[in-house]
Amino acid sequence: MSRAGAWLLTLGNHRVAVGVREQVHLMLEPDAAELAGTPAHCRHVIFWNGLCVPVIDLSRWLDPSAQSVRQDQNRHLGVYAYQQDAGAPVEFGALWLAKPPQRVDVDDAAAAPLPEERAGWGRVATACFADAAGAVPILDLPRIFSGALAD
Amino acid sequence: MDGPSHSAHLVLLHFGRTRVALTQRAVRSLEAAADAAFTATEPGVLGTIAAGGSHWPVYALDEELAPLRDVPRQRRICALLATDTGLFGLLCDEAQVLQRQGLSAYPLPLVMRRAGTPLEGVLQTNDGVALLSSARALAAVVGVDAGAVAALAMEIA
Repeated sequence: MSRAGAWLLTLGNHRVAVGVREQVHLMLEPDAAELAGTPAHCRHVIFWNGLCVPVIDLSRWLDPSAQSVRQDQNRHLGVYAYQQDAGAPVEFGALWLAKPPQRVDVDDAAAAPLPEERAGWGRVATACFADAAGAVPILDLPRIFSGALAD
Repeated sequence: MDGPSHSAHLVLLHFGRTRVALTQRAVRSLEAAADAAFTATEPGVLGTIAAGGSHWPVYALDEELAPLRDVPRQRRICALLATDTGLFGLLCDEAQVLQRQGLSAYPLPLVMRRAGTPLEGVLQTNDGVALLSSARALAAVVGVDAGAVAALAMEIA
């Protein structure tokens, strides 16, 4: 059995995880700019390290019928690094977070099926584990930031 | 983007809270919206404006850059934009000319692109952000009909 480090993220009312090396920056009080004419789940950008980084509201994408996410649910931002393929350049995207991420260790034995209450999980997660509080999908960051979630 | 990297100036058009940046050469002139005749002759066209001996169709966009079907009376300026086939007017609240130098422009992130979007990039200005676009992309959004533009121009010639 092997264990791996991960960051446990709270997106609105959902809990998800990313690999420990995928999170590269945390903004507790972010200054994000809203852009008109953009998808409802991706309305903001941040300017970080000379880059224009899109910010995804994954909770909004998972629950599109929600009129608006409470302001305090999009309080912080995590910046994540990903590659579309091995050897491809490293790219960056950000996620709105309701709470600061929590460092956890995940054991292979904790593998679990994706939650069934939302069909969208299959499009944004590569795997899932379970802890005492329930299932935790592991995000597929290259897919999420590729534009595959376009509405 | 009408060659933004080669243009020394940009024109910022304000549509409510939304600011759209175009190259200066995409904007032929800025007219008073009061000079437009708001009698629609074609579907989607709010009226016409005379400039350079011709009449050109006038359109308007909301803050989300979707076409408006009614004349927004609070818009005081009509920006005449140049496309390959002629000119068209776009009603806006305010227009500013900015020096391009020193401003940072970025491509629109892939995840933010939608089919038919007029957004081509993001401009970081001293007081916020603006959306980079082009006269051609805005013409496509409002539904500028090249044939109608030519017919209007011929009518007055």
